[in-house]
Amino acid sequence: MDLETKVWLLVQKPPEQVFEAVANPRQMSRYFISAGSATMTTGAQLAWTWADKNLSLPVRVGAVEPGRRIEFTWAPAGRETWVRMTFEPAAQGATQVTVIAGDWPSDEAGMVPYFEQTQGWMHMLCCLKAYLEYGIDLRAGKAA
Amino acid sequence: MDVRFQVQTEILRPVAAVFDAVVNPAKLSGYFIKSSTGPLVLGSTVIWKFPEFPVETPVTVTALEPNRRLVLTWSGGQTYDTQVEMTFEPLAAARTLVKIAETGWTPDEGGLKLAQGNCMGWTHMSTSLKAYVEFGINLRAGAFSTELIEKEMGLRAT
Repeated sequence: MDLETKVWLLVQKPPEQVFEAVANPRQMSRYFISAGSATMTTGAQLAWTWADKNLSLPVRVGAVEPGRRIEFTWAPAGRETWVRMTFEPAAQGATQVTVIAGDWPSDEAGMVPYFEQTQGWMHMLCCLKAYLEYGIDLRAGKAA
Repeated sequence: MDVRFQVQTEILRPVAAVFDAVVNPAKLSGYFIKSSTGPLVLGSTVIWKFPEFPVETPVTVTALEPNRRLVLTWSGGQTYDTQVEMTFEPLAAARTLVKIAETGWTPDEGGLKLAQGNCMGWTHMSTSLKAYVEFGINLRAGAFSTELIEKEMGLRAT
């Protein structure tokens, strides 16, 4: 069995708006990255930068359905990883945002990125929610 | 295989304010639980209710050093107990590093899955703690629903 992680959260905004806050690098830089070099569209190749960590990572976007789904691959800890994000309508105009990522071997070594990426993506979703609902940057002073 | 995880968050507030926001139920219910039968005091067992989880959770405090460390035992494994250790480290400029680790998982597929769910949960809790003490907001409000928790985690009201 390979390990894949799944985290999710409700954001009290419609799917189109939540999707835009992820796909548009100017918005994403308000709560997650320092900068992104391009919008997340199908087949796009871009880079996410974290100035405080002196880190820049290439992101290869696969399929994108505007307002619904973004798939990409990257190597957050030196190992190629796939990520699937979905944006589903929920009750009262909210959006269920889900991130599934993987995979890693089901052993001591695989457990490290499994839990790191669980934390990393849940933190990202919390920051996304705080940005869209309260207009604040929770990453300032950083976490993780 | 030892199944364990640790999450951490840096909070731009002094240790005493952060520690109190965890042990004091009037504050903890502002971003994490719905209610507690009492404060977290060494040797005590309190019952936590959550805003959306259809369960009541007994929590026993097995170690407590004010403003430094808190160890809890609860039924993180659903049918068995796990241990949650929270540490609070003072950093420069009146900041605090909070670390939360949970151990005691069965070393198998089931343990890995439950631990992953709680890793997600403690990440949400520690980020919400930060949002609460820094901005005075409740990030748990509208973050989960009973319906989705039942769908995603297979929990049922008891």
